[in-house]
Amino acid sequence: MGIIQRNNVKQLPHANPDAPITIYAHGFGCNQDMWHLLTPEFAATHRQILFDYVGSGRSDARAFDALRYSSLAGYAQDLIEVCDALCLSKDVIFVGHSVSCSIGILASIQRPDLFSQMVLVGPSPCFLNDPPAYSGGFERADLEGLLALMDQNYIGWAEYFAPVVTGSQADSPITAQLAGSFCSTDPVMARQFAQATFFSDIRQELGRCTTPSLILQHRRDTLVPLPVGEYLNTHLKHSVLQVLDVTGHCAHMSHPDQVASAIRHYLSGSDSCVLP
Amino acid sequence: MFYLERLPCPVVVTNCNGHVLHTNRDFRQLVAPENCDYLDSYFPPASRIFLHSYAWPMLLKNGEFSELYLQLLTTNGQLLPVMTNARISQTESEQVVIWVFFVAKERQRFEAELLKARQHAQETALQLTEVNAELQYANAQLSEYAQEARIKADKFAHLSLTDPLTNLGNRRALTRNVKQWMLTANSQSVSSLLLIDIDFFKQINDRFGHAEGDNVLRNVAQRLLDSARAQDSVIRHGGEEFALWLPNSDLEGATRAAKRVHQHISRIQVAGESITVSIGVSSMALNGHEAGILLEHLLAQADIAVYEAKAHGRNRTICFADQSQPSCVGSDKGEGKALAESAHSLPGIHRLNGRF
Repeated sequence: MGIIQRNNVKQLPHANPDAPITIYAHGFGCNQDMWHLLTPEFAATHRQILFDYVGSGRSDARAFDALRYSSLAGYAQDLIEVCDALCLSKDVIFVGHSVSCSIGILASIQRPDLFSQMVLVGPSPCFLNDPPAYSGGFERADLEGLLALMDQNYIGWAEYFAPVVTGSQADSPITAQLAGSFCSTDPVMARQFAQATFFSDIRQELGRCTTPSLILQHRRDTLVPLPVGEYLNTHLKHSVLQVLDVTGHCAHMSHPDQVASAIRHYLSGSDSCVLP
Repeated sequence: MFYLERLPCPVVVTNCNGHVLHTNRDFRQLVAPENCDYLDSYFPPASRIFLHSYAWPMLLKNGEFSELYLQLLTTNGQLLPVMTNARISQTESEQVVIWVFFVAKERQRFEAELLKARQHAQETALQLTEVNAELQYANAQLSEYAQEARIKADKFAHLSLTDPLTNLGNRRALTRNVKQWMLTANSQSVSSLLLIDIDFFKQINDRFGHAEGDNVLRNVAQRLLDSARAQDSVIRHGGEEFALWLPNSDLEGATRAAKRVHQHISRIQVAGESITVSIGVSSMALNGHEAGILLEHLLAQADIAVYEAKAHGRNRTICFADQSQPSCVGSDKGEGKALAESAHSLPGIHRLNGRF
C-alpha cells in the first residue's frame, strides 16, 4: 500500500515548486481538516502538505497495527514515512498541534535534518502531574475517566463492538458515513490514539531535539496549563515561547490570524538570522 | 430570554472562547446556582479534555455538534451524565455558542452495563485466546513426547530383535519372520533350517583373544548374509552358532545353500588358515504347526544333525531326515584347509536317519 494513500496525503497546489515546504500534523480527535483556516494564510508563500495519521480521518484503516500505534513512536514513523514518500529529507517546516508536537519532536530526534523549524501549537510533553517538579494538569484517574467517556461516546458505533468477535479491526471497512466525520475512522483506533496521547511522557527526550522551535502556548488552556509551555521552553534547545492571548486549545481554529502572524513573524525572524 | 429561561433542560450560552454569557433556570438548579466565568468550570477533568480535544474542534469546524456524551460537575460534587448538543449562532453583536444538555442518568446506567458486558466479553475472548495458546503448546509438547517415545520404541524393538555384536536378528526375530511367512504359506509349504557352528571357535578365542573371536563372528555373519537369498533369515543362535532359515526351500535347496555357506565361510582366514563350519540341515512341511513349534522342531533336528557333523570330523553338512522324507541327495564337504590340526576333510553331506 502506498504511503500517500495510506495517510491520505494532500499537497495544496502551489505555483512555485521551490517554495518552502510546510507539513501540518493534526492532533488527537481531529484530522487534517482542522488546518483549513490556517492554510489559506500561507497559500501564496509555501508548499503545504497535509496528512492523516493511520486511524484518523480518511487514512486507510487496514494499515492499523495495534502494537505500532500503541505509542507515539508509531505515529512519528507515519510522519517520517510521509516525508520519505514525498522525497523530503531536509528543510521542511513542521507545524503540529497538541500531541503532534510530541510526535514531531520524536521524528526530529530520529531525523535531525528533516525539519528546519518546528511550530508547536499547544504542545505538552506529558499530560500527567509528576509532583513536585512537573505539573501536566491531570491525574491518572482523570485520564482514565477520559477513556471511559470515549467508550460511552462510541456506544452508537457498531464497530466498537466488532473487535470482540473478530479480535482484530485491521480488516474492518471504513464506512462511508464515518469517512466524512471529523474524528477517527474507527472508535477502537481513536481510543488507542487517546491512550498513546494522554499517557505518553516525552520529557526525557526533549534534550535530544536539536531543531529550532516556536512554542505557541494558549493563555487559558484547560488541557495545557501555562507552566507546561514554560517547561518546554526551558528544556528544548533553540526554542522560542510565545503565549497567545487565547482561551481554549485550538488557536489555529479559533484564532487562525493570530497563529498565522506568529508563525510568519517566527519564520521571517529566523530567516534573518540565517541571512548575512 | 423568557423562553430560554424556562426551557425544560439545562442550557448555557457562551462566546466562542467558552466565556459564559447566560445560564437558564434548569441549569442553575441542576448544576450550579452561580455563573462561572468559563464553561470549563462546569466539567470534571475527563470531560474537559474531551471537550477541548474533540468537541471544540468539531464545533469550530462544523459550527455544531450533537449527541456528545459528557459529564457535568454539580456544585455539590456530583457528576451529572448528559448528552450535549451545541451550535454556533450569529447575534447582532457577536458569535455565541448555545449548549443544550439532556440529563441521561438512565441511559448512562444501561450503557455502563453494556460497556461492562463488552469488557467482560473482551476479557473472556482474551482468556480463550490464552487457553487456546496453552493448549496448542501442550499439544506440541505431547507430539514431541510421542515422537520421542516412537523413536525409543523403535530402538527397543530393534534391540530386542537384534544381536548387538553381529547386528543379525536373534531367535525372536526369526520367530517373527516365520510367523509372517505363515500368513501366506499353506500346510504343504516346506521350509528348511541350517544350523551353522564354527569349528574350533574356542581355540580361536584362546589363541587369538576374544577381540579376534568377535571379529570372526562378525565376518561369519557377513558371509552368511552373502550366501542367503533375500527372503531367507540369518540369525545368531547363540555363541558361535548361527541359523539360516530358508522359506519355501526343501532339503535339496537347503543342501545347495549349505554348499554356498561352506564356500563363503572358507574365505575367512585367521593366521593364514581358513575358518570352517559344521552344518546341520533340517526340513519340514508346515502341517498345521504353529510358528514356535515348527521352529522348535527344525532347530532340534538341525541340532542333532550338527552334532553328527561334529562327530564325523567337522567341516561338513549333515541332513536330518525322518522316515517320511526322502533321503538326502548329493554330497558336499567343506573346502579349504581346516584351522585345527584335528580337522580333516571328510566327504560329503550325510543323511542322518533318526527321530527325536
